[in-house]
Amino acid sequence: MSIADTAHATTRPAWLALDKLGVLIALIAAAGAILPFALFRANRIVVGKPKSLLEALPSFPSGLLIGILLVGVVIALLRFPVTAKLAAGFAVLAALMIFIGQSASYLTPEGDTFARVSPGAGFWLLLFAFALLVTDALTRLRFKPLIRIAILVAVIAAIALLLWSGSWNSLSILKEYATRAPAFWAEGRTHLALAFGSVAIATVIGIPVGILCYRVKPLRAGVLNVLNIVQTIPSIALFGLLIAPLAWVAANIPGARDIGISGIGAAPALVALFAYSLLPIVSNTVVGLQSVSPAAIDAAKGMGMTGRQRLFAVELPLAFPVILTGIRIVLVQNIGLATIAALIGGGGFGVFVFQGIGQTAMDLVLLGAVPTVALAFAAAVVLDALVELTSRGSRRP
Amino acid sequence: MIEIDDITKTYTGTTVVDRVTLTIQPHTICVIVGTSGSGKTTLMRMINKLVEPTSGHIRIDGEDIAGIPAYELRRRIGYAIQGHGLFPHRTVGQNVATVPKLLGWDKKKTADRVEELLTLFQLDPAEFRDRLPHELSGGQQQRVGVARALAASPNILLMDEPYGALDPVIRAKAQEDLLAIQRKFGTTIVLVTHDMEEAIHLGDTIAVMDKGKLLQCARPAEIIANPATPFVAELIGTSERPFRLLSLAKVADHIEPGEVTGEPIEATASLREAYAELLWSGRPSLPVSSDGQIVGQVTLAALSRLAARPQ
Amino acid sequence: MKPGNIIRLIVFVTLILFLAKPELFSGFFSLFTKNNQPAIYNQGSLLDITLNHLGIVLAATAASTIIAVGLAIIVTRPFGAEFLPLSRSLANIGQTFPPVAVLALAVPMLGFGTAPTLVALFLYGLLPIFENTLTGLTNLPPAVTDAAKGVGMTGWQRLIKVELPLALPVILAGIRLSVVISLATATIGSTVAARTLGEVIIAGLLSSNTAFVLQGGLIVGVLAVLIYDALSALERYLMARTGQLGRAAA
Repeated sequence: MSIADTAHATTRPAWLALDKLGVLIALIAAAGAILPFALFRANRIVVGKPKSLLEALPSFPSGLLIGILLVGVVIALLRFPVTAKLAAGFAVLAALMIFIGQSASYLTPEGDTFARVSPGAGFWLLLFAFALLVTDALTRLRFKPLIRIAILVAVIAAIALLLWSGSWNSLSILKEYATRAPAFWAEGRTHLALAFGSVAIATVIGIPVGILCYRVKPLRAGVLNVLNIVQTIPSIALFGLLIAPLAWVAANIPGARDIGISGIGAAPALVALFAYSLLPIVSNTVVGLQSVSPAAIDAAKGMGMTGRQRLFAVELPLAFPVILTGIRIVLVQNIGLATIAALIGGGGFGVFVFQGIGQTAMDLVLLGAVPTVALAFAAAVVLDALVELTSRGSRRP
Repeated sequence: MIEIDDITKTYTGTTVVDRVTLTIQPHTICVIVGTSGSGKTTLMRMINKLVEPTSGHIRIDGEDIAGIPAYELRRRIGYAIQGHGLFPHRTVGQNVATVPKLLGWDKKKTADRVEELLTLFQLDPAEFRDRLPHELSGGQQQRVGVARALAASPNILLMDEPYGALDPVIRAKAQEDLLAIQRKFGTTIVLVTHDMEEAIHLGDTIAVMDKGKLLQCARPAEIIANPATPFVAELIGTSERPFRLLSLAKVADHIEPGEVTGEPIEATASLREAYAELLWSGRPSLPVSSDGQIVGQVTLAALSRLAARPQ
Repeated sequence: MKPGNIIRLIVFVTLILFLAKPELFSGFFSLFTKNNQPAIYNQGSLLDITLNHLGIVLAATAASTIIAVGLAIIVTRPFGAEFLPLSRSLANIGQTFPPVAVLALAVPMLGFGTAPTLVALFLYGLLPIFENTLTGLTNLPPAVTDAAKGVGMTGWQRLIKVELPLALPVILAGIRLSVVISLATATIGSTVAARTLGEVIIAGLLSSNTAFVLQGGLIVGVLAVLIYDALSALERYLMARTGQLGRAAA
């Protein structure tokens, strides 16, 4: 099939033609419709009973959801305008989100506090299929950065509304949450403190180090090589190796213990995350400064700017988007890596992931993994938008 | 007046500029011509201390620049380069205001100056002031670059291949603009180029450099008539010499009395254009018009005499 | 021989010696133990564990390479061009999934052991290779691709004879990134009972034996540095051979 085959179909309306991605989405959705929509378990750890789309909901909502899915698949399959596809994709995702909650309430026997209902493979596949549709539409529409952030905020608000309304309360992941609510928020705060704190410290130290490496050429290769080697040490090893030196610091340096430094816990995790953050920030600072056009620097010198004026008025503003890209990489990476901190008692959402692995309780793993992925995703969207907003002056479309 | 006195620059053993002595008269355009690697740009960059000389002195209006802090000196000297070197993250207005801001001018004075310069370079301030450089065409960027160099009304303007990146039509226009501005402000301009045509067109004096040495510094007519070395002659191009000589003078200066018919030529045209028109139309003479009036004629015979090597 | 290569050789020989006869180094590692803890990992042969670790990484990277390069080729052909923007976004979104989450979520489908680790490493390894192959195939010098069309090569001939050879160094850079990430990530596999060097580190963490943590971490780190350097050298060689040393990527 080539472009020529589809181009001469002038007698039909433009939307009446197959979309290749639509075919892929339809296939995934079909598989999703066949596989179990939800899993029912009599208690937390027994093997689940699969429930198909027809069994997981009462007949009317079940029919309604199937109808919505069919409309969604048809819109995805044909060449409708991208905005229509985006709207359809969001609508189907919203329907899936609402109905999985309904399904959980429907499947849980009245008053049974042990029974667990969790989304099945079919639900995840349907979610994936229409997430593809939405992602493709959003990519094609190339929204401006602020609009992208607005969409993100709207999605977060919609999910918050679902959580607040209680319509998901019968889902197993929220039952895990219900028994651990205070711990969840405490670990969440630790997770954020670890990820953002380490990036903040790395930014404050990394940018000046990057500037120094840029100005003092002989320093560059050495510093970057050392930071490169730090990156190759596996995270759990680096976390572990920092335990002993920090314990020594806590024991021997007056005041260190009072500001929270100790061998185990958050301190080695923070130091390790900081160490991993340095390379991308320092090297992006160097690369960003190097990529400033020599003509602009020559003009700045020629017009009588001092070294400091040149740095703050020309070099750093022009390098800023590249530096911010480094911070974005590190922030997304550290939100993920902070889960490892749980292995050395550092806290964070990893606590639930590793507890879940230990108890083979996947709902508990999800309780740790879902917020981590959501945080990383939101951070990536926001920082990508910021990078684009700050790269004014470059030729980016 | 810029006095370059026995200036040498060596980089780890290689001599880039070799004992050059050159005086640039105030309110004139001096064009430094040479091939790449001739040291012409290095020589120019020593005037605003972007390059420190290995030995020798440069004096501006009698004051040795060695005693002036580099950034202070540079704020007094305009600087425009090939590819314009505009700051891509700053608007056109902010770019032009760079040096006034460094000099601490107040906002009102700076804004007025930006407005004045943009108007002078035929860039409507209302339309262009808040645009970013990449939204402009090459020619417009170049004009902003020169406007920025002139922002603080410097007495001296240094230009490094300013028109290197422009196409021939826009380049010709930019050259005319530069001549008009030089006449208006009386700025002393030092311009570096590899293009002899441009040098002859713009320069009051031309300094030819090769392998770090100054080969000849003279008025264009003198350079064309008596090239000091075979290299200078080659740079001018032996087959181009008569035409280059003709391009230096205007028809207005060589009008002869007499009546001829046919399409007239403007008195402001160069003799070279008149000569080309004579050859092309196959006529022995052309009528010359000034402000719509026929004021005389220009003849092939006279032009042929003028194009011959001066004795 | 350059000093850098001499250091690499010494490091390599030391690593081999350590894996073959770890007890030779017990003096050094006992500096990090307390209360007569064992200095050298004693719950299995370090050599076996290391080979297993490398095997998992190698298998996962090989699979990632085949799939990622294949996908990148498809989306850069006219047939798959519709998927190009989406695939870019997916690669971007994929990077926001932390490896631990991928690993943990693979367990219910595959059980404990090597399988979930392989899957997690495979999925995580896809992204850098896919992105670099895309970069390599879409940033070819236009004059060269034009010339290939001009001399009458078919789409396949252009891909095999021109585009892939020119993109090879960039693809290799992606593989190098992927291997280094996988070497470190494989250690996390030990939390779901995969037999990797993470086992040594976790044993150290559980018994507060820094010597174990250190030897596990050092082996992975040294392997990563050596493999990274070897692949970099191969890239430089390929770049030099195709005369494009100037356009290094990633």
